[in-house]
Amino acid sequence: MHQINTVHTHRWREFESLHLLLLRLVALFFIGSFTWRWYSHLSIRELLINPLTYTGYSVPFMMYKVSGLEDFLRGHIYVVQWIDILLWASWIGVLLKPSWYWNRVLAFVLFFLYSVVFPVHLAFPVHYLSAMVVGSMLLLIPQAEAFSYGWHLYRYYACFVYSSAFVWKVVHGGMFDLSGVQVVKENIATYMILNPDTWYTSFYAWLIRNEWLLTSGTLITYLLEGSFILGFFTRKFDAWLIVFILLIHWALYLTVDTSFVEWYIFCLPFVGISIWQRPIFDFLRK
Amino acid sequence: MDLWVKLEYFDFRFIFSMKSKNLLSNKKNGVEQKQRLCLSLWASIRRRYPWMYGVVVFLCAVQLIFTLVRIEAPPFYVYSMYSLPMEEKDTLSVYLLKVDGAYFNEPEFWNHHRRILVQYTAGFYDACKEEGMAPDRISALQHMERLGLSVSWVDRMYASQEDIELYPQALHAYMERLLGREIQQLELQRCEVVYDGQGFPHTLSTTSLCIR
Repeated sequence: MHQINTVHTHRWREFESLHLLLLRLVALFFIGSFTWRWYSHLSIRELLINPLTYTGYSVPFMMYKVSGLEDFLRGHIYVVQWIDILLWASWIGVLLKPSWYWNRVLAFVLFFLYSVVFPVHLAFPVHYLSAMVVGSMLLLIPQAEAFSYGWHLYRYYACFVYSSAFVWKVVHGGMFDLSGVQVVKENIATYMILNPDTWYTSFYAWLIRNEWLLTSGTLITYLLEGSFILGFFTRKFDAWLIVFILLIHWALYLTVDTSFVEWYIFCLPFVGISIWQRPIFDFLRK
Repeated sequence: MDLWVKLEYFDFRFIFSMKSKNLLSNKKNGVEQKQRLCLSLWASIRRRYPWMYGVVVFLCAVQLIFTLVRIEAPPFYVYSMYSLPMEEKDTLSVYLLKVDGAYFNEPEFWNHHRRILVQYTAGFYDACKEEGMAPDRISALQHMERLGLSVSWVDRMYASQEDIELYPQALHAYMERLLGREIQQLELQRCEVVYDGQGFPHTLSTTSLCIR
């Protein structure tokens, strides 16, 4: 009986021995994202320059404004600079010493603060960071075995994200009124106006002329999102789901100039254990 | 043993085939089967880490409630973007930024995040200028008045008149940091754009939103 249970539960505990390796991979991804954001001048210090904020009906965003945290940060720029440095340092800490639990908690808290400041000062409830926000919650799990369960849950969360996006399109009717060309026209107009003579502008004009291409492309993208429903029932197609994640956001960037590269963190939980056990990842293991 | 190894992979077809072959007909075995099949991820977490089970159930419940009332409160996101049918518009508004006489234009992939602050805030600033205050603040104030509640704390939540007036100055400071040089003149423009039959956009009119 004991043996049977061991065999059966093993599937959910398979990432236990890879706890530190996966934490390091997550940390590497975050540091990569921070580097890009540092290059793009999107640190907390720089986001705070913009006073024109938007909270929508998002509770943490409202709390950020109502609690006076924004006023405090604006009034204490030297504190903000330290927060920016600490955000980097804590994630580098996760990379170097992932077993240090309280540093992981600090890294999570600081990143959550960043994830609130970013959309509020961008004046739009963007979803660029949502995959990373939920992913950073994995840092809060203290035990290696529990982390393995968390890793599986994260995979299910990714399935939930894409399949719910598909279900909303069916519920709200977007699925049956494919307006791909309208979305492309709205989002690509700035590029086409500013760069009238490039190869891409001719390509976009060709796409807009051949509306059926964009309509079928939209339908295919929606169906790719819907295919994540399969992920709830089987792991046989996980390799395909990784390809779909890459494909959906690459197509989205190419046609509507919106880069969700930071959502590629969703690929990680779909990667099978045999990949992580390869010697190439040994440098992240100890 | 082979049977249990196969069960580990939770192959539905295998279970159905077992049923069809009457392998689960034995009552005793049937009960055991049921128990072990239920030993899914949820059951494993519940058995091994009750605290984690509680947290996950709580998070799922909050996510469900927030999804039903369509409220987004990170980390509880609602992924319903672009789910509504889009209305077709002949004329589109495009926001362009002129820095010292030349348009700010960094279209490369790696510069995507360098353009998003201007891209997102410009449209919001335009809406604020048109309405005289933040559009979301107007609806919130009306809502609060209907309910007869105090509006003082609502003011803290939304961009104030002062914030709107400060925006051009802030955009100037931000662009100086972004471009790493001093800027003499900055102009935010709204262009009304229309697409021709060949799929190319043409500017119908240009309005200057702010010059600094």
